[in-house]
Amino acid sequence: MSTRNRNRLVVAGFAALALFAGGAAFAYSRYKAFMAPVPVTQPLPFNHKHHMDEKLGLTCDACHKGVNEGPHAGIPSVNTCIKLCHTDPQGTNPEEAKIREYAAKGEAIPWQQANRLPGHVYFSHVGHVKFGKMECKECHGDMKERTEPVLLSTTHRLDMDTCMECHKEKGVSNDCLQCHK
Amino acid sequence: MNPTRREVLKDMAVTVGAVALAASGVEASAPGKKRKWGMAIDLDRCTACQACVVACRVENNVPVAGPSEIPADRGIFWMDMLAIQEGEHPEVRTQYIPTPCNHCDNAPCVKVCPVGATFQNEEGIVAQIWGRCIGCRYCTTACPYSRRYFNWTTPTFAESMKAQLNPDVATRPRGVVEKCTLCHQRIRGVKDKARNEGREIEDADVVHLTACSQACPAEAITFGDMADNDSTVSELARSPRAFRLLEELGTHPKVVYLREAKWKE
Ligand code: HEC
Ligand code: HEC
Ligand code: HEC
Ligand code: HEC
Repeated sequence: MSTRNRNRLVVAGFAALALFAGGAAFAYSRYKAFMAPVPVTQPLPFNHKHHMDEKLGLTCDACHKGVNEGPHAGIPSVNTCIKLCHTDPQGTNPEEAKIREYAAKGEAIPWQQANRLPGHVYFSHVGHVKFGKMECKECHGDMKERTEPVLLSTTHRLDMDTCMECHKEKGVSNDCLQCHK
Repeated sequence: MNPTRREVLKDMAVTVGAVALAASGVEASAPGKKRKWGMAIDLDRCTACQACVVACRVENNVPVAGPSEIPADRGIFWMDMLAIQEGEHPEVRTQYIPTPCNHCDNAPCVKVCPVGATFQNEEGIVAQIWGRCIGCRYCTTACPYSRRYFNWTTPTFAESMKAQLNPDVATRPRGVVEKCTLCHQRIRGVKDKARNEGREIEDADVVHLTACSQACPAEAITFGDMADNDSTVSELARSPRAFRLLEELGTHPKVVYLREAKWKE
């Protein structure tokens, strides 16, 4: 092989290597972006801590009623907010008046779901909270101390491996059909 | 993220073990016994009205098979109505047979899946995890009953139908195989309900659990636990009228048919 040909081969080799590395880096960044939790926006600056301190002392399942009944925890309707407390202005935050505006318009507060598994996964709150006797904290962190609305998933680390790891530990079935629909 | 190959293999081995145990009759009497879901379809009651076919599509988000899919043989029917001609002209009879997946205990489709996307679950359901399927279609070929369907195109739903999609069943993307799951989302629901009420599920909870069975006006379709000798399906399966499709293949279907007249295939 002539020197020229050899040089060409080396150059081509380096070019292929660079192309491959670039492609891999691109694919990895796309994968990271795909796997990252999707941020949402909330219409009102809801404050969990405020509702759960000594003065009000609500429990999680007072508002998220579904946790004892079915797969979805649920968010209280605007009528519940009104009926329980917000008929008259509460506190000092001007945003609070929006609750009554939504209710007057007969609209639901457009909360967005931050914690969201892919559509092919089945998750059950009643299964973990009531049957499994788990605390919300174990998956959602300390919501009691939270003063900001939920804009980013708090359960995002719960990928399939983590789910299955705990199930294995606690002797719960890891049948594919248990979690997939 | 996905299960490693070893885990899938292990799961499959465990499933096979559980099936072998269940088949040997050890499980049936043990406390916390394994269930084995199955179905009995009474052809003498069936009027071929196809209510089951429609109910199944609605429950399981199966896209409508229209004039563009059917001629190309690309329609999807988790529950189909098979028409079989018997006799010689001019004395022909047609027997209509509602055909869901047979949920074979010895399922050929499970054996050929190279990625463990289809498997028999703990309770005997031959299931398919859509996300795991690579679309090789070995299983559609292996199934002697042709009860598996490939999504040749991205399933589309009319705008007016979108609000009706069942949130308990994921829609399938293009390029994966899909099939009847014995309405396992309803089984899950009834289990949670019973547990919430602090009791075990009973035969009465499930006899007409699946969408096809619930919709049948003639009550020809019965669902239940085949491992429980006292369940309605087990009783029907012991009937002298009972037979299974292509029994001689050794697939051991868990869908039993009932017919008075002798079967000539
Ligand atoms: C085993 C972990 C786990 C525990 C324990 C848990 N959650 Fe969740 N939670 C999740 C996951 C995962 C999601 C996302 C569910 C989805 O996408 O369907 C979620 C979603 C939610 C949501 C929003 C969606 C919905 O279902 O309405 C609320 C509200 C919620 N959880 C409240 C609670 C409360 C209150 C408790 C305690 C009583 C609790 N969770 C306990 C894992 C958990
Ligand atoms: C920290 C432990 C833990 C984690 C993490 C966890 N689970 Fe569970 N899960 C349990 C326990 C314990 C049970 C059994 C409750 C029982 O049946 O007594 C259970 C039961 C279930 C059930 C059956 C519920 C029923 O109604 O019988 C499903 C479905 C499920 N888990 C899905 C998931 C999914 C999906 C994830 C991940 C997003 C997950 N789990 C993460 C502990 C966990
Ligand atoms: C006064 C009623 C109320 C109480 C009590 C309450 N929440 Fe909430 N929760 C809400 C409302 C309203 C939202 C929606 C606004 C937001 O995302 O912050 C919400 C949102 C959430 C979300 C995010 C849902 C999502 O995915 O978008 C989680 C998780 C949650 N709550 C858990 C808890 C837990 C755990 C407790 C108990 C420690 C609790 N909540 C107590 C009303 C309540
Ligand atoms: C304990 C619950 C649980 C069990 C059991 C489980 N999965 Fe999953 N699976 C999940 C969750 C949660 C996700 C979504 C998060 C992720 O991708 O890790 C997921 C994601 C997947 C995906 C990725 C789909 C995609 O589009 O990226 C595949 C494939 C999959 N599961 C197949 C299986 C198979 C096959 C089995 C049986 C061996 C199984 N799963 C058992 C919870 C579970």
